Amino acid sequence: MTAALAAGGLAVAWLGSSLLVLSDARRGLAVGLLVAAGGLALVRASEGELVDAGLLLGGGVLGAVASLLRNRRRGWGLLPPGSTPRIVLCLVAGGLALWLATGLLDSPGEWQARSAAAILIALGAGRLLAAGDARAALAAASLVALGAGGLAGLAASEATAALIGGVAAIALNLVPTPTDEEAQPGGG
Amino acid sequence: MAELAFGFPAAGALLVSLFHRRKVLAVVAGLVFGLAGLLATGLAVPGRAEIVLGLTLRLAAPGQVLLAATFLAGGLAVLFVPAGADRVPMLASVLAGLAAAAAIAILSDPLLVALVLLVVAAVHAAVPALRPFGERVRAPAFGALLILLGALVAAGATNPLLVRLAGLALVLGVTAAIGVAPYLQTLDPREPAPASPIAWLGFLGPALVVALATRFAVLIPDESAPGYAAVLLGLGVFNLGLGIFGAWRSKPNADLWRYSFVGEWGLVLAGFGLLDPAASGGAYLLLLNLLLLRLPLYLLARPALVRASPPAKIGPLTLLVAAALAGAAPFAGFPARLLILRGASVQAWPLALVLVVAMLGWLPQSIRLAQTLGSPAGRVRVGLAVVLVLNLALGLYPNAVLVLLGIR
Repeated sequence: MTAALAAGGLAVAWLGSSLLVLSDARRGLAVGLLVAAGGLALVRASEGELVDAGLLLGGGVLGAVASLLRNRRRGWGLLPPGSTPRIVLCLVAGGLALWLATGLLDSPGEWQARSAAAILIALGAGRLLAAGDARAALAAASLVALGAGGLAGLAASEATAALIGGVAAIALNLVPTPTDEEAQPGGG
Repeated sequence: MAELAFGFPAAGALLVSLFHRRKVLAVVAGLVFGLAGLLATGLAVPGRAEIVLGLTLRLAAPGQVLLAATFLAGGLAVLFVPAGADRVPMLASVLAGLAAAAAIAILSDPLLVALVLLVVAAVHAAVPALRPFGERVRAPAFGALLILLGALVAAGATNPLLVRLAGLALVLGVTAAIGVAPYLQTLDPREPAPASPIAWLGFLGPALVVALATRFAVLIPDESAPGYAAVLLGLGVFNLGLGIFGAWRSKPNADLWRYSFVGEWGLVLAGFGLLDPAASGGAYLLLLNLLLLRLPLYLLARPALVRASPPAKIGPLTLLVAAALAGAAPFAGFPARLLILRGASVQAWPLALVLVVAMLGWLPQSIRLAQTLGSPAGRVRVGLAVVLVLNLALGLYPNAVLVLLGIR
């Protein structure tokens, strides 16, 4: 049962991260962040780390709310024209992260949680480095923050690392950007 | 105590932002919290691990000295705000930067250091400036991601080849975040100093490279130490060469300053890459030089750079500033360069020749740099005097600092 939950969480983490990578507008970014955080939290919860799971999920929820409130680009903005490289990124980066976490690393923590965190980091990093839009970059950075907090939490005995990851995810989405004023409503 | 070195400036930055309309209150609160942070840094026991809320915090001796110097540099930056400019935004930025530097210096877990770096990169890129957000966030965020990868691989990789790459990722991550070559950013003097690449090159960079030398390097297995050293040396020589070449090609403007930072960073990286205690001591002294000489001088020169003032005539003050910038005796750069040369002559003597040529090559460029300060008057002249006296003291008594750094 716990193995199925962890596997499900891993899939949800990839799905949420991919949604964030494939979106340009606020709803897609926020829901992507929320689902990815939910997936990571599910994996941690399946390992019995409920406090870590709660903190990561809390960070994801509040980060998603902050992202929704700060971003002025309405709609989902899902799969805008020219999204093929992003689809490839989701598949390749997701696969590479899974390979790194399972085949090349043996710590920290169990492979499912390690993989989920690595997927969040890999896809978030891809989006962060490629994004021109500040709000999308910040949402991607918060994905990385959740993943890094999750990984640091795997190595630590206390939940502080997960708390820092969650707080960082919220803080990143609260950062005001110059484009807040310039962004035009639109998107899919 | 180490956690207070972070807590005080962070609280100060929040208070200054809250009271930004009441300028006197904001400045007083900022100064009080900044001084309290400096005191907490000074009172922390170097090297002792403290567990705070489950986090292991440790301030190594070099980290403590460099963090204290960062506090001083921050104070100078606030003091040297150009005439007529608002001091409160600079104070808030400096306190936030100090909190970030303290977090980088005290956090033991490199994953958390990378996390802090990511947040700092985003906040820094969001400060209103001339360059777009995406352009400003890319290099430091890439650096944070590489540190994340390096720390993960160093701690948990099973493949020996991958373990060897950990050192490479950590060094490249730190250099990317600092913004030295190959991750150079453009420097426009019209951009507010806290939003410009100087914030990384001259303010946060030293704390980061100390974290690399004192904490990240420990993670790297022994067999990958030569690779780690080679990357540091390679990047050091590359930046040194680029600094010299770029400076020769530059007009006496902000570009010349950027290349002077790059050249100095080249020496620092080479100093650490030699894996020699004397050279490391020299590199630490150069970091102090960056914080307490080059950064304040750039801030003092900025108004003249923005006005595109013609270069000043060469007078006694220009020559003094040039001597300090070039690392001539008796200024702090001299013992620093001497220590790096000593390390190089022991570990790799051909490198010592390259370093000597590069150091001599900076002599004429330092005069050009000093000329960019224009004709100093008023607060700029006072600022120059303060900076030069501080640098002279550091140059005359380097052993005291080296003892504090734990090198002697």
